[in-house]
Amino acid sequence: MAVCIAVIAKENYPLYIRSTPTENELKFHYMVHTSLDVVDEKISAMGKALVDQRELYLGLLYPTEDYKVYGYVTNSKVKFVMVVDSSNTALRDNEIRSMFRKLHNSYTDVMCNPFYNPGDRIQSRWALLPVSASSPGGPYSRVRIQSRWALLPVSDPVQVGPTSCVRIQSRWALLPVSDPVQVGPTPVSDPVQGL
Amino acid sequence: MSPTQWDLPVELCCRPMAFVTLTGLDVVYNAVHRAVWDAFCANRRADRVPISFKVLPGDHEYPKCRPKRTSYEWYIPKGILKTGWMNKHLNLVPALVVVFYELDWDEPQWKEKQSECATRVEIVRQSLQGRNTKVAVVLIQKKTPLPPGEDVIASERAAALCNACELSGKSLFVLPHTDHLVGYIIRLENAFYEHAQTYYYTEIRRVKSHKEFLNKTTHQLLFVRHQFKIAFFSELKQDTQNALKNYRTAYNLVHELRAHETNILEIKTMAGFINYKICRLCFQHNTPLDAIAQFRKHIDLCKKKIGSAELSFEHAAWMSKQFQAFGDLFDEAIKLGLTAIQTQNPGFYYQQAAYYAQERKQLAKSLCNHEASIMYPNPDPLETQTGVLDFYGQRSWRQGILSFDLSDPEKEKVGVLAIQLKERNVAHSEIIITLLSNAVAQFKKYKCPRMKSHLMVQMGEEYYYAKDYTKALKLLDYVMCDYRSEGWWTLLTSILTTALKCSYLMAQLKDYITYSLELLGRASTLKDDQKSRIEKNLINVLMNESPDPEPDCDIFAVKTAQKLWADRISLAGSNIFTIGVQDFVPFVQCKAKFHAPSFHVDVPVEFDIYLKADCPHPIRFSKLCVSFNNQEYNQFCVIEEASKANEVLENPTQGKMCLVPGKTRKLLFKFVAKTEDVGKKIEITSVDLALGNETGRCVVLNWQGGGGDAASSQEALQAARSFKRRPKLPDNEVHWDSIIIQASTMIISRVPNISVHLRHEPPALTNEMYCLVVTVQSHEKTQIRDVKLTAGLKPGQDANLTQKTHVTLHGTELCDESYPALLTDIPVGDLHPGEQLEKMLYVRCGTVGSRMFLVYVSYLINITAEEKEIVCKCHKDETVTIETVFPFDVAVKFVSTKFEHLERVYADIPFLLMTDLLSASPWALTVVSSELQLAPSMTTVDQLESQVDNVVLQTGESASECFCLRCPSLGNVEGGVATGHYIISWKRTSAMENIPVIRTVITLPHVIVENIPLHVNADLPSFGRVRESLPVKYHLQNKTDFVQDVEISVEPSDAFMFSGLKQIRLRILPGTEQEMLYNFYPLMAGYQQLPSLNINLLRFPNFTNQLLRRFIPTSIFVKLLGRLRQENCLNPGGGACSEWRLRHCTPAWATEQDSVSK
Repeated sequence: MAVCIAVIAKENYPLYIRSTPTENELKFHYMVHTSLDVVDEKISAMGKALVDQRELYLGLLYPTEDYKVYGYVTNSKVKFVMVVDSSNTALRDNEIRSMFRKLHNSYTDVMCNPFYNPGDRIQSRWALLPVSASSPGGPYSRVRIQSRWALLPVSDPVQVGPTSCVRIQSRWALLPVSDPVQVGPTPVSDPVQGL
Repeated sequence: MSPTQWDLPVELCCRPMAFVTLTGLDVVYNAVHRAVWDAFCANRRADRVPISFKVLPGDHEYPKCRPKRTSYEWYIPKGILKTGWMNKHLNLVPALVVVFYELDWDEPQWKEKQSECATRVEIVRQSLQGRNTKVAVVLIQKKTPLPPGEDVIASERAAALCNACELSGKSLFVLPHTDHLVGYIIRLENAFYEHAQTYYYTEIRRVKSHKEFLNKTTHQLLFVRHQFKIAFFSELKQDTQNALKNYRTAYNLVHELRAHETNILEIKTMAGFINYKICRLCFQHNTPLDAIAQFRKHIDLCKKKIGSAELSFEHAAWMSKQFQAFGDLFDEAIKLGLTAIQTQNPGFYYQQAAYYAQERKQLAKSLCNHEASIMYPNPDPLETQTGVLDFYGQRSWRQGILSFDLSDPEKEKVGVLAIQLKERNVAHSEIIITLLSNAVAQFKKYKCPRMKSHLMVQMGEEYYYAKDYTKALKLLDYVMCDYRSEGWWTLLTSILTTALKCSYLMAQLKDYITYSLELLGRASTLKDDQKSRIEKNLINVLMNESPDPEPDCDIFAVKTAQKLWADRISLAGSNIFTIGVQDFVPFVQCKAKFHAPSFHVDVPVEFDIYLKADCPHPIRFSKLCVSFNNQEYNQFCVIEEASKANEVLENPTQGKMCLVPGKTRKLLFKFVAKTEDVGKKIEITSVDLALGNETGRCVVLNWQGGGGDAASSQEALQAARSFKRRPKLPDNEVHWDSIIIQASTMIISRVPNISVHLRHEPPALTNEMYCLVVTVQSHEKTQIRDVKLTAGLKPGQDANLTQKTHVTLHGTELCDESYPALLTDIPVGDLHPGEQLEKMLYVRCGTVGSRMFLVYVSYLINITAEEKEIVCKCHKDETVTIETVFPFDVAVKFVSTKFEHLERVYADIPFLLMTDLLSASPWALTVVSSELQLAPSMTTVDQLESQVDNVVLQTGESASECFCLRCPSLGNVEGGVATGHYIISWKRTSAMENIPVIRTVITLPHVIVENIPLHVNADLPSFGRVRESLPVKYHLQNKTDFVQDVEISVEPSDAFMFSGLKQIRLRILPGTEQEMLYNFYPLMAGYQQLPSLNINLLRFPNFTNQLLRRFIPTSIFVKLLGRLRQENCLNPGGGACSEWRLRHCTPAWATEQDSVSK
């Protein structure tokens, strides 16, 4: 039910931005970009203390007239920004939190993809999260990411098949270590269940 | 209506203060009155009571009070709040009228004066006409009053005056015009303030009393009005808490009113006023969160109350004003000490105000697009008779009409049209820009750089709409780099598109080209058709033609722009633009790469320039030149368009000068480095690519260093991180990402083709002339010239080594301190191919330890590289580490004549000095000679001849010498007596004849000398024979200056019979000697103990036999009597005796010397 979702790289350039009202995309780009001011400030305020126990969820960033902007930062300083319609009172803090957590999981799946080069813009046919929910029964009832491979960058000319992957022996070795991925096959093997 | 109709009225925004009028003061002509007035108005700071004063004549007409209404039953209010009401109570109706009157208590004409004063008070009362306004009298007196109660006349007359004027005693004041005027005035003020508060209190009571007559059906407006009045009076009373409470009630009442299209503006206006008051008071009470909450509530309630659709821009204007007013209030509170935070600061409100102002503009644009033929209606429906409205927020053409249906739709239409036409003249952009710049200032303060940039973009766009293209460009250009550096390409593209329009409309050539370059580049997210349009335009511009207009531009502006472009074209000169690409992302990328990190000077330096275009169509460049830190190379690295004739023939897509989109073009450059640059770095300082040609327009893209623009460093990082496999490309094509810029290379000297060998026999010995043989052989194909040799201690080692190491070419003489540690540039001459050369070096090392020696051979050779003859300097160096060791160890010891170890020697008594030379050298040493140089305090007993001349010592062998010395008595010397020096002259056995010998001087240790009272020595043959007389003579010398009594006794021994004095006591004179002769007769063969001689000195009880035994032998070897002895017996006598006496001290070590010389 978010209006716009953005994944921002550590260096503050956008990795992924998608918004529902596509006609006014630029406005959301600006909104996400300006919200980074607050994210930066919050991150620097957090300081270096207690890196392990740090809260990843940053809470409400900007109170604008029509939208609410929420932020989330991973341990590798990748930022997630979500823009929600102000009029939508159904979304409480807890819902926002869980949306972020799911977004984080999806992002982790993208990072697990051996064909994805960390730092490249994420070009996925599939939204990491559905930006709007037209269907009744919760914002995520329609999400069916059938396979992790669906999140592959579409532009990549690599064939997704067992033969082309021979060179990479284990995808676990390719995981970014700083990201809070649970190492073990069970949590990541079926991301659909998580959603 | 004024253009500022949305501004809040001044009387609403000011701080309400009690209004007090002063009468009877002649401030123009009376100095005393002037001073009093000045004291009232000067220095009104926060600590003075909040009163606003005004001087009025005594007969001033105050606003008339309307007759009191007895019943509200038939009264229908025409609006909420009259426009004049607030001003009336702030500036027209006083809370207190003060009558000033000059009167002293001891006035002689008291009666007349009193009645005049009473008349004045009466006049004031008349003009107030039934208002509750208080009246007070101040008597200005010349004398200082006495303390109360003492002046009887004063109290009497005061009571009389009060009576005459119908005043209470509390309203009569005395102002002595003396020194302490200001103090009196302040006291007066406080009294006035109390009166004013009472007045406002009664006013509040009066308004409240109306409430009971009101009913909810017809008097809803009055509820709001009364509540507002109560709150306003409370504020005048300075009771802000109650004021806030009443305003809040009023606010709720406003929203309870029935809203309709006809009265919505009035409701919103009032709601805005009350909201403003509430927020203002909340900030004043230092509860900013309440203010913000109230404001949010206000906005939420009013947001949807748009009113008439035809005038919806009015709603946007009103909203904008609400935000702006709140922002102003917030900002003011911050100036008074409130602290704001990043996410809650006035900037947001200004931003929102700007947003609504933009919306107002949009709405106005769509609603007010009347044709020019429509004239402004006449008579003006917006004009009123008085020029102002009666009630706040009503329409001028239907004032006071409360009915919800429009009585006169025609009139309404004309009114709306009038408002719309007025709106058309509003300078919206100006309003928006002001608000945005306010917001920018705030966000700058609260660390929101990105928000600031965003607002600046909006400002720039607004300037663009306002047709102020110069300012628009300036702003956009300023923020562009922020978006570029953070890689927000979509945003950058949108900004660039606007900037391109601006530069087109102003016909700014350079800007137009720069923005086009970037919009064509890879950072742009434009679609291909857009890109090809821009590229076409760019090519047009380069051909010195006008570009097509940008889409969505104002038609009139385009026309002006086309004229400007036409002027530009006709204008000659300044057609070359150099654009540095460091700060943006152009559509041509460039990378320079030297083939190697270093080049030998005899091979040509080669490097590639890679170019890649990102534009949709191929593009030609006219020139490419590369600049280096050494500008002499620039001329070799230029590619220029061939002549015009060639150009026609060349296929444009195949040519070298054409960049095909997406393909990497590689251009190879080659030059021969100068020999002077050997050891230096050659750096590419810039690459210049010229697009277009000089006949049209020429754009030179300038890359600093080896290429790369604003985005390339991030891309390079990303490419380095990538583990993606790149698809194979045909040969001679490369992946752009895989090219790594290498903008500098080292020029190093040519590889030498000679061999340098060192021949020596390590280790070196201390102080030796160590021989190092250097062999240089040329393997070059041609003759080498100017061969020079530098040899010696390698620089950069311990400084002490430099002083203790000396190098020479001549081994025949010993070198001293003046010789250097490093011999530089010894000319050796020329060498033919294959020729060999040998050079001997001699090194003298003064200290032990390891040293690094350097041998450096340099030469010149002629070489042909790239058909150019160059002279190369080559060099080769060899280093060797040489250990220096001591050649030998020398040990020295003192022994007695009996070869017993001596810790000290006795004066005048001979002793032996033994030296021991132990060779430590791994090579054989020849001791050429040795010499003992005695100190003056020592004398020798026999000749000091060297006993080790020309002895050759192998490793570990030693050579010893022994010298018999005597030390004359010197008395007691502290630390012993110097012995002298021992000098050894030596050389390596393998060294050549002409190599000088080395003299090593060893300082001998000092020896402790002691005096002895009596010295005994014995004359004794070296051996005895059984049964053969053995004469022994003991010499007793007195070494003291006294006569000594000596007791001597000889103890008998089993092995000997003897004759001589067995026990004797005798005296020895100072310095003389006594001889004692004994004849021993050995009885047994073998090593036999002699009969021991006991000497007892009476003067020196310490002198014991122990000491004595050091000097005299205690045993003797007795031989058997053989045949030879019998022969010898034939020939007895003193001769034999004299023979062994001569050799008495040599036999023991003669054997040892044999072992040494072996």
